[in-house]
Parts: sequence; structure tokens; C-alpha cells
Amino acid sequence: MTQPDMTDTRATAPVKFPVGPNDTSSVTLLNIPGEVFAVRPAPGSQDALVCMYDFDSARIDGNSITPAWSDVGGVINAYGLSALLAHAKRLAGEIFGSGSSPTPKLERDEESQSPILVLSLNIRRNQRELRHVFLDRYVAETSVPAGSPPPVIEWTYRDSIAAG
Amino acid sequence: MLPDEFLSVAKTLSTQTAPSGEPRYRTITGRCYYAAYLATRDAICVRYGFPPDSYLKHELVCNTLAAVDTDPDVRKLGNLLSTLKLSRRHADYTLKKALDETISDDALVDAAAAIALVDAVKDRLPRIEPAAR
Repeated sequence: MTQPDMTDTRATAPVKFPVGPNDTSSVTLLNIPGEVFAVRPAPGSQDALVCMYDFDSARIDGNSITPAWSDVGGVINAYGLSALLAHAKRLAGEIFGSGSSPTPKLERDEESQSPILVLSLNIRRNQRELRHVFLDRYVAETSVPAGSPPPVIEWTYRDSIAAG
Repeated sequence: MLPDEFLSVAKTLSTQTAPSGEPRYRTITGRCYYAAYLATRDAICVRYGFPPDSYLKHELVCNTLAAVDTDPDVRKLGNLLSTLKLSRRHADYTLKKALDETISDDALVDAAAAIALVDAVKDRLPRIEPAAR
């Protein structure tokens, strides 16, 4: 999860203070791992509430919490995957030619019900032998930011054949 | 039974005439994923002394291996597993979307590559804790 940029304020000395169970503000603390704190940018200015819950290890009634992704662009930005995607596009262009750019999309895992980030690569059928050339370079030349969902590569072909 | 035996069944299905059509391609695709997943699971269990047939969450295995930036071979294995798993999902659940022979042929190639990689990286596989079923 991307850490909040605590320097992004016009105040010179923002104050960070914890929000506890006895806090009199209208904050409902969830009983899951993580920290909730408030930031006072400057005297007299409004406080900002920052929730840093650990949704990876959190359980509610024993059930894990899964993200509900709906916007693929938001997922890419939130997890810092833009550089990986940009390099994957460059690689696809070099190996398969123009028009073979990976298209990101969201799907859902049937087992865990978690969302999956998919990079769908549409190539010509006669380029199938090059899939592993792409994959070898992709794993060697890109990196997955810590905590990010590794994209799943899907291969589709432009000249589909009918199932026989 | 060894995981490779699923791949053998998939290869046999791919070279014989019956069953035919999409059911055949979907079955090949599914068996290929399980061959690769089970080979990986078994290698992790052996390396870390987990009981045979331990349940390692599929998504966790795929994602953990695919995020190992320091070892391209392990990361490639994770990516192959993830792609096979996605194809298996398509093969078993999305019946309205056509699945042609190309996909099952890709699965055969990818599963064979994954199983070969498992053998090459078996001493470098990360620890993934078994889960309750």
C-alpha cells in the first residue's frame, strides 16, 4: 500500500497524534490491525484523519478482507505499477510490433474472490513462439513494487480459429 | 501419483481424436494448470518439510512467486502459473466465451516450461505457509 506523503502540506511543522478508543471525536475505530492517527497541519486548521489499517492480515469474524477494485487505472496508480506497465508496452512493441500493446483489465479470482489485475496481450497467431521471449525479458527487466498485485499476463490472438 | 501425470493426460488428450472440440481444449487447459501448480506445491513442501498434499493457496503461490524480483526464473515460474491459472478459470467457468485449441496448446507449452523451471529453482523457492482447507 502506498504510504501517505506526510510532507505534502503547506504547514512547516504538521503535528501527528494518535486516535485512541477514548477519543471524543466521531471516529469509529475498527478492531483490525493497523494505526489510525490524525494530522494537524497548522494551528487553527482542520485535522486530517489517516487510517493505515492492515487489510492483508485483518480478519472480520474470521473472514479476510478483499479489495473491491473497480477502476483499473486507479489500481495501477495506487500500487505504483505505471513504470512496469510502460516497460511492458515497450517490450511488446519491440517483440511483437506496433498494435500489440498490453491492455490492463480487472478480473476476479474464483477461489479467493479477490480481484486480479490482468495485462492482456493481443498478438498475431504466428507470433506465439515469441511469448516466452517476451516473458523472459519482462521478468528480467521489470520489477513489481512491494505489496503490489503482480499482473497476470493473458495471451489472445487476432485471427481466432473456431473450436473444432 | 506425480504432478507430471496430469500433463501426460493432457498431452494424450491433445493428440487423440476423442473427446473433441471445446470440452477437450478446456480439459487440457485445466489439467495443465494443476500439473504445474502441484509440481510447484510439492517442491515447496519438500523444501520446507511440509506434509505431502498440504494446501497452499493457489493465488498466494502465483503472486508470491511472480513478485520475486531477485530471481527471474522464480518470477517466470510465478508468471507462467498465473497465466495458466487464468486460462484454467476461463476453461472451467466462462463457458460463453469460446476457448480454442490455441489456448490449450499454449497451456501445454507453459505447463511443461513451468515444470522444468520447478526442477531448476526448487532450492530457491520461497516459503509459503500451508493453509487450512
